[in-house]
Amino acid sequence: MELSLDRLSKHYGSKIAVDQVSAVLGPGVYGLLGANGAGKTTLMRMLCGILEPTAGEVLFDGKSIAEMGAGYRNVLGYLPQDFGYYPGDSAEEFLMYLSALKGIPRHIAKGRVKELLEVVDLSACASKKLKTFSGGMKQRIGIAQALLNKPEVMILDEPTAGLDPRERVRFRNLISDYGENKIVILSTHIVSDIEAIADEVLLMKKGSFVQKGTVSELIDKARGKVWELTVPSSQAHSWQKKATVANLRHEGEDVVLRIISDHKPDEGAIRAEASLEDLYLYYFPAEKGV
Amino acid sequence: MERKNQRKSSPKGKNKVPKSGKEYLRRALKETELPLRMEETISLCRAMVREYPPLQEERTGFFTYLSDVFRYEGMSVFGLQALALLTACLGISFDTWELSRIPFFALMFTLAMMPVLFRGQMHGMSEIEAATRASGAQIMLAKLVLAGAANLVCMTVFLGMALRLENAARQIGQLILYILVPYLSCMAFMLQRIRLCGREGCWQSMAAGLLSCVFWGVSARLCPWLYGLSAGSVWAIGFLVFGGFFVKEIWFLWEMRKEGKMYGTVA
Repeated sequence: MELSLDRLSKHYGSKIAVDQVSAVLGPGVYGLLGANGAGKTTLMRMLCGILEPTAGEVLFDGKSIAEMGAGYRNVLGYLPQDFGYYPGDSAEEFLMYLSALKGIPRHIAKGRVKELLEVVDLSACASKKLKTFSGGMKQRIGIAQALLNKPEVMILDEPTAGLDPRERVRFRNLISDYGENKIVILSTHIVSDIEAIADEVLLMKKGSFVQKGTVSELIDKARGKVWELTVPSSQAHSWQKKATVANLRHEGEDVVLRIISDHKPDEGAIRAEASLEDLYLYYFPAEKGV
Repeated sequence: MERKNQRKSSPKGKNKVPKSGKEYLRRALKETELPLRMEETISLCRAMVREYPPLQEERTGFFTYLSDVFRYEGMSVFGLQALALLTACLGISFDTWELSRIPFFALMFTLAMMPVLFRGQMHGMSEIEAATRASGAQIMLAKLVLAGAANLVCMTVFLGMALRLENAARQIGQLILYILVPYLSCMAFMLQRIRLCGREGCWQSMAAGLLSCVFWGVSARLCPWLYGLSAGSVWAIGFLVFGGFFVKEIWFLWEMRKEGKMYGTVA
């Protein structure tokens, strides 16, 4: 099983959203990391076949997904970033409706829906209207619908957004298990999620992959670029202006700053252990507070 | 059955096809205890999986799919059309009613379709729906088939009632022209909006439908000969354009049948 992206591009007039992206993805969990507007959602939509690329193509097991049509959508599970629902539907009706659209026969769908409602811990709310659901519950029903057809390729745009920490860990484990023999591509801003489950990280900037590799390979790239500096509280603000500060921790009268920089930012700075979040901040210095 | 077919078409031939994977492995490994020859067992299992890929899960065909869409959307489609029919029938049952007012009622039948056709866009469901097996286009096609059927029934009833009230069977051609020309112009615009716009398309279609029906209605009332002439021309042009379009599309679908695609058979 293989999903290949062959020089995939998407232009909106003169704006290039995705620029000649190529990759070969086998079974595993792939974390797509990038700032807002980096082209992640556009790329995911093209991988789902709902957005036509300006150039290039997506191949599933060597066949173009555009030519495969329903054959590809049969093995696809997709959770969009912002998805709606029919407010009058209950959780069960919503999943049954999507099962019908996925072509799952009713007798199979009934069992599958029940099973998935248990997986996402919503069995007790199966007959409740979706309009009464909280944000986290809606997200869980979104994840359940993506799993309905037991997809070979699962594309999840911000799957853990809105989930509480316990649910997030639960879904991370679920996705990790699923990715053992399926292709799972997930995009998120929550770096710790990617750090925890992604077999490979694709760092996206201005429509291109700027880095690809396992979490440890990428962390290696940030090694030597992370510094800790203790300064008086009064200087903290000016440091935040002149450097990329990943973290700020008060210790009595002083403040300990975690600074991302190619060079030693100050005589008093000491090297610190790098994390994936540091690499993210290194590539996206304007994106603070991740 | 599919598995049987796969086996029959196996390059290894019918005689070599094992009754079960376990038996095949035993025979291949000559009854040795499998765990002792783990590497060999694993490679044989891999070869089997390659040769006989896991069965694809059963999927519904076109008519089951249409029936499923009907189960979810049918109530709204037929309910709204029935409501439009009732309103239109009440409208023509007044004493002051005239044949030339029919174009105003055409709008009701198109308005009644909009909540169903734009439901996905209005509720932000179009992206999830588009990534399903059915895809956005096929969902729209199924809704159009259902809404078209409901329109056909309701408009026939409406025209039948109008004919009975007017007691003018000879005017049937004019009557059809009065309702179909505004209806088709609203529908053509609406389909174009569905394709190009999101939820804004619904409001644009409503506005365009209203304008179109007012235009046709006013011209039918004030200048019936002009209406007859222009509607007749629009009808003839529409007939030629859509006739050509449908022939081309049906031919395209028929060609798809050769590739084993579902909609080819439906064509």
